Amino acid sequence: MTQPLPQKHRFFSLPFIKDSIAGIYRGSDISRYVGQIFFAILIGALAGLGAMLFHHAVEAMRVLFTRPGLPHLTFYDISLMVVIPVIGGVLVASATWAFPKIAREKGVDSVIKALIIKNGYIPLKTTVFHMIVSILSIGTGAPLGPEGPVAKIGSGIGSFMSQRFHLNRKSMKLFTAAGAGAAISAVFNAPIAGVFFGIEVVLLNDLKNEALSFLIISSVVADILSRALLGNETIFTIPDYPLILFSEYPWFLVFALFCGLLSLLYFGAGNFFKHLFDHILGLKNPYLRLLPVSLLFGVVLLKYEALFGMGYNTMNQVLNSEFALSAVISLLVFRILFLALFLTAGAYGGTYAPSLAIGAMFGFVFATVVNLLFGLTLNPTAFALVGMGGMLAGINSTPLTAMMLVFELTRDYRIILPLMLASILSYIVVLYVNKRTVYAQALLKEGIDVSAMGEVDILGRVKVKQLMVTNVETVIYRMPFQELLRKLLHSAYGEVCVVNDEDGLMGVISLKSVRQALITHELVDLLIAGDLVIPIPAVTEEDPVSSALENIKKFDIENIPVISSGREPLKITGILRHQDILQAYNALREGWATNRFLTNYNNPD
Amino acid sequence: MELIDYTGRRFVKHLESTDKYAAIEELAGLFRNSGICPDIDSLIAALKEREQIMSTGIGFGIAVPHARIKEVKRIAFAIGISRNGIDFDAMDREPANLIILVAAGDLQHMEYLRLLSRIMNLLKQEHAQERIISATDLDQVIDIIKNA
Repeated sequence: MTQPLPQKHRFFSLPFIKDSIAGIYRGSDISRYVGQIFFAILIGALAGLGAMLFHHAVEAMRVLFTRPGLPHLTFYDISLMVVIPVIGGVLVASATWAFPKIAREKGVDSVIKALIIKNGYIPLKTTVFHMIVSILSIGTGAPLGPEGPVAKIGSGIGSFMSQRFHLNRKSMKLFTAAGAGAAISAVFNAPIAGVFFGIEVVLLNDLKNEALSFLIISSVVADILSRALLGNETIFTIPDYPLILFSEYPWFLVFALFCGLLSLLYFGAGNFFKHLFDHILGLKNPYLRLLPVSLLFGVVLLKYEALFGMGYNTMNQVLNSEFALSAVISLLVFRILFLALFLTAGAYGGTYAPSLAIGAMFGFVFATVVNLLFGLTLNPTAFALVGMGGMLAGINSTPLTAMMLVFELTRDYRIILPLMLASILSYIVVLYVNKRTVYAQALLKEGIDVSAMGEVDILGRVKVKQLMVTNVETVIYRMPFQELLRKLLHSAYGEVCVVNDEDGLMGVISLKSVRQALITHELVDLLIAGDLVIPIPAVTEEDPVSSALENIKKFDIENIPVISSGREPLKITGILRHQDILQAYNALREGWATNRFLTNYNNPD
Repeated sequence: MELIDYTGRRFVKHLESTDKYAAIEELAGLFRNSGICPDIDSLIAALKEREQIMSTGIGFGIAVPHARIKEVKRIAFAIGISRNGIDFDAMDREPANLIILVAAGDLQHMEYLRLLSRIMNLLKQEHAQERIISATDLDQVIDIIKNA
């Protein structure tokens, strides 16, 4: 006869765990919650293992392919260093050519897209495909980072496990998001950054999202596992450097702005290469796109081997000032160019590790050059560390993740203030110019607008003509104030539209806007409607309600006139009332909760 | 902002004109090369058009011609004094001795109303209108505005 388990072991028994997980989609609130916690632990462990497997595979390939004295192919006398990226390019291009549809679901934005459009559904074959091609890409030298692929692996594991356990769509979304954060946590050995990555990137800064608790649990578990298997060592070895002086802060400020500008330069390079590949050269074939870049990279590797792969070793060498200034400048330029080139050409990988490398090199160059020019003693290591955060935030639109990731990678509290400064300023510079985060931009190209979560986003799907009322109250601009006042007092909406002699819209007058005239009695005999009109840009019947709402807020009015979309654009056809917008918003919010981000998205499936 | 911030010594004048449209041109001309309105002709046209719709002569010897157009860069007013008075078609048929011309940008509707209101409040002050009209020196007019 089976003995009952002691009370303290009851929570670890298989039946209890199975029952709890089953409770996610059955049972009471408490069993559902306990089940979700167990599931988050499971996802954290699996996503962490997946991320570590990925990281080790890439690292093993790096060690294999960059060992000293790599042999030459004797017949042609070509170093293998040139050939390896080309072989990687051939394999990756072949995979892209063979599975074009799966290949398109690339990077972190595809994870966000899966969460928004497919309730977190990611097919297992997509996860496996991206894991393999990313290992091939980065392992054969492409100077890209692991975070895009590992986020894909982590979220793919979360999604797959949810499918296996037949969880509902809502739960699948939670664990897909949790898996992404957990994988980042494990691969960088940085649990807080993993959580921030999940919040900033995957959950689109939605701190009220239900997935947040599970994201934290999964990230913690993934990192515990990572530390248990790999130890507590940090990736970077930071040499000792003096405390940052107050007088150095202005230089950090300037440097932060330069980080933003360099990020913009990187985006400019990316856009240029995209234009070159897509329009000038018209390259569609994955081989033709990737092989020339891989070959060129192989040739450059002969002189600058430090460009190979993710570049953690290079970053360590820069932080420890083991390179000459000229060498760092060359590495910096090549890394920016090849990062943009490889991503445009179709390689698989992320931009976090390259951003860190670019930031470290840029910080080193900045401090060294300023010291040379102005006879100062800025510490290149401190600037390199701060630069890592600045470039990470600028290139990836993730200021909080940048701060936390660099802090956790270096565990150096001395740089926290300039690090925060650089991360946020660099991010602001990029956001000011690009208007959207890098993920929002990428998703908008596919018809998914994640820039404005909430009312405007929902209302962007409704046309003005669907909500407008047609009984418009108009007054001629010549109308004396006394008469206008009578009209306003009897107006149904508290506002009237003012028209010219041709019935064209001039603007609106509200009771609120004439309050000043009422206070000063003498103005009553002086003014006409034309003096009081507020010239509001009218909306057309075909405009989205969100744009009308923007004008209502901007001009502090209750209603906005609507004009026809035809040839006589100023003829008034109706009025859109704020109260109707609010009612529509409340009615639509529930139904569109899952589809709120879609603008013109066409499901390829 | 104080009332004086909307005007200045160069925008105060004893008018030579004898009819209201000429007076508007003369007063609006004071804004030339002041940075307030680079297109004085458009301002004059708008002021005249407004005047044609309904007289800005409010009686008691006062007229307040005004217009809001996009060409005006900064809201401002000019003061014209006519000892003999100018017929502004006021309801009380009294000629205007004090003409205050207000120019504003098309989007300055709230500030425009506030300024008109403040001008009216100034003119309501005891003897303010008489002191402006009888001022021998135009600097005295500015002092009255400053102390308003």
